[in-house]
Amino acid sequence: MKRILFQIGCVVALLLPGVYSVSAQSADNQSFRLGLQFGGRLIHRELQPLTENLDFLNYLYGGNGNSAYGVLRLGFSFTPNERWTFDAGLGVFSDLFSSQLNVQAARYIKAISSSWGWGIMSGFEVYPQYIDEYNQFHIQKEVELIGDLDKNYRQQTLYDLGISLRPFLRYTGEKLSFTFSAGPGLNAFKPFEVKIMQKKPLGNLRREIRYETSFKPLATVHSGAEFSYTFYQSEAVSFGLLAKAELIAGIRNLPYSQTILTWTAENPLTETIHPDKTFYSKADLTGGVFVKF
Amino acid sequence: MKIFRKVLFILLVANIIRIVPGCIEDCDLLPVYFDFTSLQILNLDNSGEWEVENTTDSMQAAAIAFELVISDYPGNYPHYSAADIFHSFGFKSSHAMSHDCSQPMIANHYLTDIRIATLYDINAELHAGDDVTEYFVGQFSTNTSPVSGVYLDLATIIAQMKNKVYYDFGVEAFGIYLKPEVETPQSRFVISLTFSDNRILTDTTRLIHILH
Repeated sequence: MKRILFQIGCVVALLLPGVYSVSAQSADNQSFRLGLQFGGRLIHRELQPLTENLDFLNYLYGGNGNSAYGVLRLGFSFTPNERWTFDAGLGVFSDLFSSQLNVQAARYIKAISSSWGWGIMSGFEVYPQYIDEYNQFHIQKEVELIGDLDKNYRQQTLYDLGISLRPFLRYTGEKLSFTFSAGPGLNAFKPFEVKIMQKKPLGNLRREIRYETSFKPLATVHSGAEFSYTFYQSEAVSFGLLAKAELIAGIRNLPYSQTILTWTAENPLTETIHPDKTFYSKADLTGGVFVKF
Repeated sequence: MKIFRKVLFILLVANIIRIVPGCIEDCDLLPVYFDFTSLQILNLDNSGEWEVENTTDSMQAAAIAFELVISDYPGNYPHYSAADIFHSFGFKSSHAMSHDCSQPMIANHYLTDIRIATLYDINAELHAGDDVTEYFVGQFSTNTSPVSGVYLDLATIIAQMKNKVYYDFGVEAFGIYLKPEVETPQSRFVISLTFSDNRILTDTTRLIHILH
C-alpha cells in the first residue's frame, strides 16, 4: 500500500510542475482543458413496416426503434487566444472497442454584453452504432427458404460521419459558463458489405444475397449545449464539472445495392434499393469533470 | 592475446548460430506427377442446411446430389511407401527444426469434359437417355465442411482443376447437384469424365429411390 501511494505521489509530483509550467507559459490567455465524461446516447428511428426489401435501419441496436448506449468520452480543448477554441474528443462504448471521434473549431466573433457573446463553430464527427440481426428480415419473410445459413449472431458496426456549421451563443460567468449552438450539417453512413446465404430445405437450391450500402450524404441539423461549473480555481489550474448535450436530427435512410445470385454466380440480379426516408435522431447526454490549466 | 580470443569466441558463436538455420529442412520439393485413374461416386444428402454423406440410396426429389472422387488410387505415393512403414519400425529419424513438408502433386492430364446422362425419366421434359449435364451444378468438397455460397457451373469446375497443385494425395472431390426436381420414383445417372489425354472414366450412380 505504501509502495502504491509512493508511486502515485511520484506521478503527481512529475505531472503537477508540468501543469504549472504550462500554465505559467499561458499567461496570454492560452488554456488547455482535459475532460472525462460518462453518459448515455439514444438513437431514435421509427420502425418501418416490413416491405419487399430490407431496411437496415429497422435493425438498429435494440430493434425497437430506440437504441441506447453508454458512452465514455475523453475531451481535449485548446484555447490559443480569446477568439479561437479547438476541441477534440474520443469516445468508446462499454465494450471499449467501438470508437468515436469529434473535432471542432470555434471562432468567437462578437461580445453582446460583458458575459454574453456569439460566434461560429464547425466540426467533424464520426460515431458508431450497431445493426443487429438484420438477417431476421430474410428469416421472417422468406419462409420457403432457410433464411440465413450463417447461425452466428449478426452484428454490423455502422459509422455515421457528419460535418456541421453552427452559430453559437456563449455565456461566461465567474464560475458558470455555457454555450448553445445549432446549425445545418451533412451526415452519411460509412458503407459496408454483408451477405446472406440461403438454401431451400429438402432441396439443392442455393441463393446468395450481397448487400453493399451507399455513401449518400443527407442534410441534418446539429445542435449542442455545454455547461461547465468551476468549483476550484487558482492562477495555475482550475477544476470543475462539465456537462454536454448534443443532438443530430434528420430525415434519413440507408440506400444500398442488392445482388442476388441463384444457383451459381452466373447472371446476378443487381438492384439499387432506396428505403423510405424517415426521422432519425441521435442524442448524447454526458457529464463529468474537467481540469483546465 | 585477449582480443584474439574474443574474436575467436565471436566467430564461434556466429558459426553456431549459422548451424541452426542450416538444420531447417526446406520445403522446396519438386512436384510429383500423377494420373487420375479412378472415379468413385458417393451419394450425398443435401436435404439439410449442409450436405453430408448419404449412406442410403434414397434422396429427396429436389436434392439429388453426388460426390465424385477422382484419384490416382492405387497410386504411387513415394513419401507414403512401404519403405516408410519399414523406416518407422526403427528409431525415428531426427531432423532438427524440420518442417512438415507437404508433397506437391500435379496431374499429368487435366479434366476437359463432364457428361451426365440420365437412365430414368426426370420429368415430362427430361427422359431416359437424355444428356442432362447442363442441369447439374457443382461445388468442390473440402476437408472440413462444404464450401459456402452458391454452386459453380461444371465448366468452372473443369477450368479450376486445370494445372491445380494437390498436396500429399492426388485426389480431387467435388459434388454435383441436380437443379430440377425429380418427378419419378427412381433415378440413376451415368457420369463420364474426359481427360486431356482422351481417357474417359465412366461410372454409374446407384439406383436412387426418390422421396416425394
